[in-house]
Amino acid sequence: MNTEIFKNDPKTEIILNKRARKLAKETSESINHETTITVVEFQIAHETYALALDRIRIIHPFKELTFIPGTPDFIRGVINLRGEIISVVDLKVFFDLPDQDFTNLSQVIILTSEKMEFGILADAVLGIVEISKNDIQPSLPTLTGIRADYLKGVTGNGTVVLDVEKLLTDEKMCINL
Amino acid sequence: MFRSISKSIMAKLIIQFFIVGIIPLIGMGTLTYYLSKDAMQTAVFNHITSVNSMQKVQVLGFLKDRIKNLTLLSRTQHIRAMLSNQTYQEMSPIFEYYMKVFGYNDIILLNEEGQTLYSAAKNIEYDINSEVKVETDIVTKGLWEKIINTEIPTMTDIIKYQNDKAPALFMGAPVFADTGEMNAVLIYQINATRINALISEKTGMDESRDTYLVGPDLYMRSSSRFLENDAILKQKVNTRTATQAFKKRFGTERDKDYRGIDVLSAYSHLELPTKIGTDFDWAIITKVDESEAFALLEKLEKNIIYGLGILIILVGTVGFIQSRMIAKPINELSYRIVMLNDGDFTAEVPLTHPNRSDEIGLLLKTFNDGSKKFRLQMKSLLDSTNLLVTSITRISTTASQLATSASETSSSISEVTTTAEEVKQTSQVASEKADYVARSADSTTRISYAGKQATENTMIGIDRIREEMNHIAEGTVQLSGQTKSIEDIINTVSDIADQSNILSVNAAIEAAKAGEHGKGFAVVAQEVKTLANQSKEATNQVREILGDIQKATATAVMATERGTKTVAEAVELSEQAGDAIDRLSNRVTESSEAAMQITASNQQQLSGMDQLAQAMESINDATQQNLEGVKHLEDAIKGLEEMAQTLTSVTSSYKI
Repeated sequence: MNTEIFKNDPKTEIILNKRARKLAKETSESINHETTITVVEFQIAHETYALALDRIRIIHPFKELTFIPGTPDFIRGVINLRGEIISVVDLKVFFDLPDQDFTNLSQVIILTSEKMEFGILADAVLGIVEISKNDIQPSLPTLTGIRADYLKGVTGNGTVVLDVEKLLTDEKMCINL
Repeated sequence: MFRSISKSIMAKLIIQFFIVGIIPLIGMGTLTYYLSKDAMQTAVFNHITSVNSMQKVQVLGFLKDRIKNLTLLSRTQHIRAMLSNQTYQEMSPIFEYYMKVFGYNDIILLNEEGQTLYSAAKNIEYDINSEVKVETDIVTKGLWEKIINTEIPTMTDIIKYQNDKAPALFMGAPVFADTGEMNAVLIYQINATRINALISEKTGMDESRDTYLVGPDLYMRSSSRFLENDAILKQKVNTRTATQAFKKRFGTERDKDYRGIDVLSAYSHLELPTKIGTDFDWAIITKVDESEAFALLEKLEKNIIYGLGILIILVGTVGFIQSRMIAKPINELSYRIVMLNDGDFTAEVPLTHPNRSDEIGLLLKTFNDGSKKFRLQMKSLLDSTNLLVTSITRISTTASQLATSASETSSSISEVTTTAEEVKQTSQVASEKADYVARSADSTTRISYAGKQATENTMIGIDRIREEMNHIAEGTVQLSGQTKSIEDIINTVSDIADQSNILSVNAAIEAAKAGEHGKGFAVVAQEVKTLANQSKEATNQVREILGDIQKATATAVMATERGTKTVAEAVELSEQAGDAIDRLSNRVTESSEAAMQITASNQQQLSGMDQLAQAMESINDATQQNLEGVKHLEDAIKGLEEMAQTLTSVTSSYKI
């Protein structure tokens, strides 16, 4: 975008071309090593979200949900994961997004840390994708509300990258029965 | 009343009465008048002529008498003695006596030389008193000369003498001596008034009658009663009568007199030359004023006019009454006859005199009776005329109706004829058609039998088709069930693919957890994921294909269902067709029979139609004759109608 401003200056153009080549070499190196993150892409309410793999324990099919009364709305219930009881959070409710029925594609993404462990209900899991860190841009002004607090950024494809650490460390998630 | 003289018999009669009555009256009156006038004139002329002759005789007698007297005196001895002795004085008393008795103015004596010897009036002796101048005047001289020559006593005309105022005439006679010689002339001077007195004596009752003497110089020789002054030698009578009097001896004349008054005059000569021997003559004229002479005539005229007037009135009245008596009934009668002529038969003459028995009365009565009879006859005639007219009108309408119906009949007949002809043709055609129908019915029976067979075969074929269709339906239903199980399998495969995908993700997560050692595993996981995706895609494709198969089977099911239905319908239809063909076959057979019958009946109809055509032709001829007859009838009725119209127009003007 900035190149267009200086388009008419040949000197500037040469400089910019050199710089572009330099940058292109560097990025190809960084993707392979440090500058990329591996994320799981999933869909909530027809929007594509992404979570870094670091804190994901496992993806479990959404079945046999048990509703727990007296819990907040965003907690759908609990599931039995190989003998472990894990609560399932519905980000649609949490982020005030339009509700959607469960399908056989619905999955529960189990997030885990030393302190917290819970599942996030995803309408569909798209797959594992590597995203360049540079590609992650600050969030759009349209993404407002509670969502904004848990965002890491938005990729060029419009994938919203959530901050796993914030979700895991959020106090709202801690429920004292 | 007097419309016009030429038109009114009354006026004519009256005029004729007037003409007949008045023209003779007027003629007679005028004739009487003129005849009496003539007679009167003659009478008056006779009268005055006699008076005239009487006077003439008187005058002549007077003159002759005086002449005789003079002659006597001249022959007396006294005169002779006096002359011889010249004793005139002694004779004086005798002369005076004479003068007194006979009324002489003077007695004069002249000697043979013509000298005056003595004048008795003056009593002068001219011989003795010679100092007295001898007066010799022309008159006496003339008389003397005449007497000397002739020795016959004579006289002079009346003349104005010397100093004397009154005119006088002189008479002279010769005085003979004893010897027989004439030695003197004795002359009397006679005053003219003497003669005047003689003739102007009024005799008779003629007031205007007058007689006077006229000399040759047309001066009066006697005075007139109607002239105040002495007219002798002063008044000239310059009239035709006077001049006539000197031309003829005597006569009568109707003239104006010297005063300019119309008079009747009689005149005659005194014939002095022959009677007395003078060389002159006098005329004596007696006249009477016409007014007096015709006084009676005037009276007569008046009487005649009065009488005429009375007679005219009388004649007029009588004529009027008479003409009225004749003309009035005739007028009435003529008026009634005019009324009759105009068609008014109510005319009846009013009988003003019912008892009048003359020809006119009879005429009127007869007219009334005749009119009455005529009226009655006319009435019946009128009634019958009206009846006739209405009958004719009815006949006319009937005839016209007849004519129209006849023409209609004719046209109908021609229509019928044509129709019959058409029917004939049609029946021929029908006969042919029926033959054709019979023939075609046979073939149709055969064809319908074939059709029946064909339908039966069709039905068998359709039954087979139905069975096949049922098989197809069953097969399709089975196919549908198999596709369902295939779908279940595919769903399972899809689930497995999904689970594989999740598994690959989890494996990737696990690989990520293992760090550098897990990198190879990550690749495997990635491969698994790709496989999962591929199998997922394959299942999706299979599912799509399956969906297509399902749709196709559904349509096949539907089609088979429709096919079965159609087959059922076809079965039904073919059954119906079979029935229809059956019925058709029956009908065809029937129609074949019917066509046979039609042909037969058509033959009959044809012959009937021929007969009908013949009948129609004869009817047509009859109607044509009928039409002509009706036309003749119409013409006749037209004549009748015209006659009826004339009759009505004639009778409508009648009044009964």
